[in-house]
Amino acid sequence: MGALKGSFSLSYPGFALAIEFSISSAAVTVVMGPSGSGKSTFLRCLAGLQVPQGELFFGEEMWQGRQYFKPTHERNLGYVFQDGNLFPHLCVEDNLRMGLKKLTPPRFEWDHVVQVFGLKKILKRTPMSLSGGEKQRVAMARALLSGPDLLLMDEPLSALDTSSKNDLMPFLESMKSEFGVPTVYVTHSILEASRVGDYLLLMDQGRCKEFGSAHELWASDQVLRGGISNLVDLQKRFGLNL
Amino acid sequence: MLEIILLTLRLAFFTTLSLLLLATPLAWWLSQTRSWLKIPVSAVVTLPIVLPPTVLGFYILILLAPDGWLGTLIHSWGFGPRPFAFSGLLFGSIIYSLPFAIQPLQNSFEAMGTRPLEVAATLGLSPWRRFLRVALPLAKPGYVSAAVLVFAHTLGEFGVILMIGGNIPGRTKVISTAIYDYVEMLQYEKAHLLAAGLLVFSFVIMAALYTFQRRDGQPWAR
Amino acid sequence: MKLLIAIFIMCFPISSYADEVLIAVAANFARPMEKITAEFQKDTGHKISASYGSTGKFFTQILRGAPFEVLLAADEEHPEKLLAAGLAQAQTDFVYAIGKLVLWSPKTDFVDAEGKVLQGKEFRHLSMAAPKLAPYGAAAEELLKNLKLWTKLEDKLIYGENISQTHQFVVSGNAELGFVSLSQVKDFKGSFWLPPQNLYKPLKQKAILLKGGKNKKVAEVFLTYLKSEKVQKILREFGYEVGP
Repeated sequence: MGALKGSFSLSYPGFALAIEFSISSAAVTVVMGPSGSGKSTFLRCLAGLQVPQGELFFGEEMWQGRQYFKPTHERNLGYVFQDGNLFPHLCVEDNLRMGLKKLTPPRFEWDHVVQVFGLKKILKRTPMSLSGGEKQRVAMARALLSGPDLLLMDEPLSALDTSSKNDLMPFLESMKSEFGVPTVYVTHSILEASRVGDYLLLMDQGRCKEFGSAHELWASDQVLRGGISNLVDLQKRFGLNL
Repeated sequence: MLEIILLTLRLAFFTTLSLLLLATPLAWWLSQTRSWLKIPVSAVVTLPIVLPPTVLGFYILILLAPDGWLGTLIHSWGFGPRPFAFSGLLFGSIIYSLPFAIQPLQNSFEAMGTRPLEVAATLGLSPWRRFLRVALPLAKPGYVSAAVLVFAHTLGEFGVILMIGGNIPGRTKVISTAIYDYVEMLQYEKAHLLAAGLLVFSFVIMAALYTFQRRDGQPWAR
Repeated sequence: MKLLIAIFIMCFPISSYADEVLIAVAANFARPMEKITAEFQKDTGHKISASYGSTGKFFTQILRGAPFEVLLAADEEHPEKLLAAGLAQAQTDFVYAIGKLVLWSPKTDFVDAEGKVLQGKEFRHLSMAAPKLAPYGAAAEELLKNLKLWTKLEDKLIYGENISQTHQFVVSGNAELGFVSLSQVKDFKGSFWLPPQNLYKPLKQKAILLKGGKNKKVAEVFLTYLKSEKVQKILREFGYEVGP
């Protein structure tokens, strides 16, 4: 598995994204930064949901070039949004099936995914009857069932209350350990970042401020250039939550 | 009398069917586009609500006449809508009821937002399959509204039909123009009977629509 | 779904166009036409398919290719204009009926036999057809002007688009009285005044064979039938005078 690398620039009134990046796509990269720093826009650009200027390569595969743009549905990725993930007209099982691609042999077994996310009992339920946490579990399971090469998650826990967040955390971890899909994970929460992140990308005002191994970034003062010396400071500087 | 009622139902049925098919791409485009054309197109589509039906009928008649530009085209093809025939009535009804199909569909498409379609794209669904498997089912309430409104509107249509159809028994005489005839003949009892039937029928289908809308709620609301 | 299919099948046309003549009939002539149609079908075995509407609208439709074969107009001008436009057969036009203007009120004893009610102030609204749209309206205007009542009554006039609407204003009580066609009041109770014919131009209604009825036997048979004794009797019954 190669890297996810490229450069984007995109601007509209009050906001500009100008980022160059080279992300190892073998692990979980957490994207952090204050509100309005362009994290979600960056993620949407990776997915092709927004069209920036620039280029994007996923390993050897060109997703965007000067004259070329691979549309979202042709990029083999999974995406978990903050909310509104599920199709309201379909039950849980049919929602999961939406992602199944008929031609390829399934990358992950249906039963395995259903079991890991504990969905067996709610397969026939409608999205309307699910709790927020259950909805996000279904969304993650569905993204995996589509057999993605890359998983993009946009603050998947931020719309949930604290107890649901805590309930969901183990699922995030088993998602990483059981399926090992390279992931770009946008969050505000240092707690989530420290639990799942292998790499850390800090964004501010549409730019990449820092990129490095999470382990080193958390551990070493020196790597956090610009005077960020501890988590409290990080929190202040970037408006992050613990 | 039966013949008139059947012709009216047939016209309403085919108008509804054609409009659901024709209005779908147009309403979809209007709901998605950011083009400057959206405003003029929306305005044109809404015109039939504003224009007096006889005026609309008059211009459709001119358009379809053998020396009209569409009429000339049609004669060279050998098929298409002709005035004073069922096909002309259908053509006029489609134009006359177009806004009643577009509005509910466009509203439904807009109300579902972009999220379900984005989700579908990330799951690998092509634009066409996104439309069929996500947008269409989510717009179901819009389709029900559009169908009922168009059907009822066509049943009650008068001015356009009288102008394009010519009120010919067995060919273009529908319930509304039959009521007109009975009034002309001072046969008010028969006119009242037909009018009451039309009223009751329209009431029933509109009531059914509102019942459906209440029961079904807005399925796209989370 | 089955219901839909059933409706679909039901909706297919059941009409047939056998040996029938397609006639556009001025709305004011609708009642006698019903009776003439019944008699004609009984006597000749041919069918009549009659469309009722305003003469002006028929004129527009015939200009745009409407398939009518005979026109029974409410006036003389429109058949002549069609003739000039080459859409009707020459020398087939004739006056089939002469309409009579009547001042009528559904209330008994409201209209007196000399029409003196027009001088008084006992009514708020007088209904008549719009002079520019309907021949009966033009006739009513002419009459009122000849009686020197036009300026005096102008504020009280309400105009119907055609003679039926004029009649409806009176029947519904929105106008106490109105100038309608005698053919409209025959069966109705009430009071009326028949103005003398010298006060307005006779309301001659012309029939004509249209281009669409050329070489159509039934159409010619009908036009001949329209001049028969039997039809003339029906016309008088319905308050029309017979042509010269």
